[in-house]
Amino acid sequence: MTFAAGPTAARLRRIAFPLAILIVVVAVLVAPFYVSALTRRVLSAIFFGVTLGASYNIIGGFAGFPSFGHSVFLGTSAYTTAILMHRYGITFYPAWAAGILVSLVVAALLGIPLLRLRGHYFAVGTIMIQFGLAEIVSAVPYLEGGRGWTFATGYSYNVFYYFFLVTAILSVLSTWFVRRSRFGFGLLAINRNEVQAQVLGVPTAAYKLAAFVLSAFWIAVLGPMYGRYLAYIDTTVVFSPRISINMLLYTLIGGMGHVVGPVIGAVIVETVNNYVWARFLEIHLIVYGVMLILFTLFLPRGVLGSLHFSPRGFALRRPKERVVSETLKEA
Amino acid sequence: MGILQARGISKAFGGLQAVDGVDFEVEPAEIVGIIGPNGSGKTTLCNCVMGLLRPDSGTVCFRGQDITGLPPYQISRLGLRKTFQLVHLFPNMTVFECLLLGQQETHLSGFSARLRPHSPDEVRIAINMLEFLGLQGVRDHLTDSLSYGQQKLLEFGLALVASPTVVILDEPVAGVNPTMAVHLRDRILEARKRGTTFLIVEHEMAFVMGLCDRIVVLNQGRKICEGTPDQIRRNEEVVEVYLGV
Repeated sequence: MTFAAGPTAARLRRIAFPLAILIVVVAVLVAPFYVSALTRRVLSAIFFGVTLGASYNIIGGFAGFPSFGHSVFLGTSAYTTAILMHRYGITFYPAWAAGILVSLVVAALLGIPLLRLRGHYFAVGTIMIQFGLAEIVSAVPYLEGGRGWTFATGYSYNVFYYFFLVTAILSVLSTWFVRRSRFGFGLLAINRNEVQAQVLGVPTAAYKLAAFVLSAFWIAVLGPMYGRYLAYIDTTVVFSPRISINMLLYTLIGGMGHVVGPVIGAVIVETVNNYVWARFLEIHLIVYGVMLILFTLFLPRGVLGSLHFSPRGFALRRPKERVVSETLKEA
Repeated sequence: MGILQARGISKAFGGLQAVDGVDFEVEPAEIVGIIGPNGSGKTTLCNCVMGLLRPDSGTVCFRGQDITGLPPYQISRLGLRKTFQLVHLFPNMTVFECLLLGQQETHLSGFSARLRPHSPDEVRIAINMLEFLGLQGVRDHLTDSLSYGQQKLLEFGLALVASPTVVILDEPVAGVNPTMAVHLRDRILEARKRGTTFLIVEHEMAFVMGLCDRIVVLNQGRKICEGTPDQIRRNEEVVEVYLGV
């Protein structure tokens, strides 16, 4: 489906995408006042998922390092905040900021050794970190991981709704910002060919670490608010492998490395998940599993990965034909 | 003094002495060829020069600066580039995006420049490079949809787009059809006319003989001779190595 040429079509194409986004944003802004409690819950879950997926996209999609343990940054910031509040009597907002900071430091410390690994080795390394950190947090008495921490919710549901909405928008914007920067180009290069990237002058080690820390940021921002949203956290909730896997799924289903990919992925996964869960509790995991199998079989590159984009429009195909350039035809 | 000098480069992999005390020097705007039978250490030598491998001994000087042991990305920023024997491209990027990437790190100053998109200057340079290569028609194609020859040509362009001082080409015409080889040769000569120096590792004798000013011959990791293509053709040792007489 490519747009026809011509000035009107060109103008339409330019405004179509921003216009669509504007309509969606306005719709979700007013939605809480018009929709049912269930829909509002699903929308919140989608926004939460978009934020996770967009953050994850920077390291998993752009740089090509498939982490299976990114929920540790959610856990680290939530736990730090809870401990600062309960043990030291610090109020929520400074504790929240400290939680984000600690999470980023942890990301840097984990990133330095982990990013020396590639592909499956990296993935296995992150799984180990996921379970290892959860174990440590559960075992150390000071952290009270096993028993967990309570949070005073203190907000109406709509506050969480709008908070998750804002982080979703900001996180997607930040990935868009990264994608068009020189840094983002460097990450795409690292993704497919780290050696060639180095030869072209890309400081790969520094870029990878920056991407890893950056990918933890919005997740870390969510952590403490997620704690308040649930009113209670323990390691099974915030150091959850399931959340880590979900981040991967959002980007995978939407399209790895595409800015809008996690949005599409989160909408699909969370909608199906929540409505199926609400209506067919007994079989919801089966439906979920079947959906994943179908996606892997038929759209392995995700929704957006199966579309071809160019500055001139987009089409539901990938160009495979070989084009001989003009000079070579003459020769 | 040469723009690129290697002194006594040695590199062993386990018990195998891949490169053994090789010296060579490249003068500005020269095209120097490195030839030798399979396994004679040509690629290893280039990787040592580019910083992809750390030589066991020896030094590499580039524009009067000792670059031995520097990471490849720093060497690249100093103006020494390399292409690979088998194409190393980015299938997730378009041809145009690759050419933007190829030059972005060379004149970058400061942290904030990395967070910004490419400048109009860089876009212009990329467009010029597309025209120079004759790849305008595939500007927005993903690199994996190009033919092998076009991919080799694009990789050559990637090295060249940052206006490097010296480019090392590792078998630029291996597996490339004759028409493309002629086109590539023409582009190398044109780039040399504009002041780029080339060091070419190649198997294809006809290609090297017709293109290079000077040739270095390696055999089993050692330099066995060096000279103009004519001198090389008449050298008995080279004939022996290649023909086994």
